Amino acid sequence: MHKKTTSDWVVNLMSYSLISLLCVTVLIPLWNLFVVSVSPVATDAMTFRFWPKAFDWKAWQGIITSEFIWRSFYNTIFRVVLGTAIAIIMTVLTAYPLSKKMLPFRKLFLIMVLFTMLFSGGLIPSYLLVVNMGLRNTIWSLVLPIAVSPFNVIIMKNFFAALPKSLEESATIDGANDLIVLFKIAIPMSMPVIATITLWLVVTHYNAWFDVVLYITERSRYVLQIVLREYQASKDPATMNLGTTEVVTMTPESIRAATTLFVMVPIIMVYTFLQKYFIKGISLGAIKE
Amino acid sequence: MTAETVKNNCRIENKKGNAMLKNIKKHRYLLLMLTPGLLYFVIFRYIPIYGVLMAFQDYSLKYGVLGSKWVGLKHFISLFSGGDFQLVLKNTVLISFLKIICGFPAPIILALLFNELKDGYYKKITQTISYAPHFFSWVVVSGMLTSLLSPSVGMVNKIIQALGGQPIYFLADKNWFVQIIIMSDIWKEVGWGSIIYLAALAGINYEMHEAAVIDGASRIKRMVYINIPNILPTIATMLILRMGSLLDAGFDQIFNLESVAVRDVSDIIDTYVYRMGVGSFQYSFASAAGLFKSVIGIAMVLLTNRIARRLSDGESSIW
Repeated sequence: MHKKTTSDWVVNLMSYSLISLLCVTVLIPLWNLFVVSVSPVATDAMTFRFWPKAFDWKAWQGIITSEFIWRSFYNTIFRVVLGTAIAIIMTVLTAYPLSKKMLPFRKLFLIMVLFTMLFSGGLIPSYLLVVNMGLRNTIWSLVLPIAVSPFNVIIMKNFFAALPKSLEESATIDGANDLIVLFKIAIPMSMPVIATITLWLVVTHYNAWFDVVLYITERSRYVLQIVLREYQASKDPATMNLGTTEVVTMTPESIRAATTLFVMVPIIMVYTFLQKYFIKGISLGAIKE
Repeated sequence: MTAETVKNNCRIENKKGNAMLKNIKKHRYLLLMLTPGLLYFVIFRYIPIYGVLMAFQDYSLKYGVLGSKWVGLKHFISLFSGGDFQLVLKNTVLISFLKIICGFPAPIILALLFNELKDGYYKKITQTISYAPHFFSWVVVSGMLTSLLSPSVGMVNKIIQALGGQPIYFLADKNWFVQIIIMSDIWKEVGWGSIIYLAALAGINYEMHEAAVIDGASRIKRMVYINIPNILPTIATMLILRMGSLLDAGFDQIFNLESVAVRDVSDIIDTYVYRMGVGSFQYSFASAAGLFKSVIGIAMVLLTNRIARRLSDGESSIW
């Protein structure tokens, strides 16, 4: 190995310090949220503390015992599970036929899918469509409009097209039809890409909020993101539907901070443990037809 | 044309028709699989594209697109003659341009820096941390920002006060709002955006670096003369993709952070369409604004792709 030069030191200093700085800017706001969430009493909240004066869990107790929060949490999980299941099935079923060169009208179908990546009717026509279909205040208004993403279809199609043909061919010769080939051969061989797209869909549905703003008016159908939005707008803890009567003495900031962290925890866990699948997906998108 | 050739032509046509039918029958399971997806695209993507015709009508919910009165370009004319939309358009382009100018190079720089780290725990952990904000929704990030920047209890203002300054209400201050938008956008996406460039950097032939080391090139020189030129095609592709969404100034972000106090600088096409359409029921007028955005969007993609193809002999274009 060659000797370390000044240039080496400069590069090392720059990369290690700038990257550390970036990570600090990610961690500090999270820590700040935590500090605020355990300092619910107004007089404590006014002075700056990097370390909380005392760990006062009142705000956390308030949201953990709130029926409203848990119902919204259940609604979130429900839309994540149903939305992801429908979307992944639809994506596979759309992508597989499009990966077959012999499919009649293939070009037309492909153009149909690709065109929607370039052009859309915009918010208002889509909004009116869902409203006119009578889907408001139903789970379908959150699941159906984003059931198929053209981007995911193209990624999955490219993956299917790149699978070795020999297995599928020998199965066809043995008399298997396309449905059997898809479920017995193509899907098992495509588990990496299916896993990645499933994770993307989970994150999309967990983080989705605007469709709830548009279509859901009943509070019993709210998802966590919307509860958090509502808390951000609310100045009075007493209107926050918490499970404790002590709220009057708390700052709204502490409840907001606790709720923000509460909404973050599941996604942080999913991301941290399944990181490599998310990252793998990035290179999948880079394939060009 | 003799009777004979007509007959022959018919036979060929029939054969073609038969072959087509045969082909359809042979692939009936594939076509069956495709049906739900096609239905989805027709209903949820193409009906709205057809529905955008309401931009040329006085749309009423009662009569729908089929029965509403046609008014030609009325809504486009009032869109561009009113001062509202010009301000909105200016904000959209300004915010978007600032995001591209400040935000586009950021992940490239970060990737170059990550590339200089030795493989190990430090690299792994810092990558994990810097990618994380990408997974937070803007609702969550806005919760974080309002807490951090709050004039009464926010950490930033407490530090400003401790240093003897006056607290600033960042999110309600017109001079600060756009800066907060740009910075928080970079903060959220810089880590995740660096992955694609890291992959490109990992693909660089190692022999190039070895040869450069033997010739005595420093790490900075190798960064400038090997790493950056080698990821230029990736940079070009990403820039084309980014230019296509020039009028996407970031609806989720602005919708969650804006308030009436800063509307003069924060209002963008998407928030305007939402307010006019869903908020004030001016469906046709709002659709006109949305259609304008879609048309500019598709034009930008086609244009930048053409330019990239011409500049790079087809290597950097996205199709």
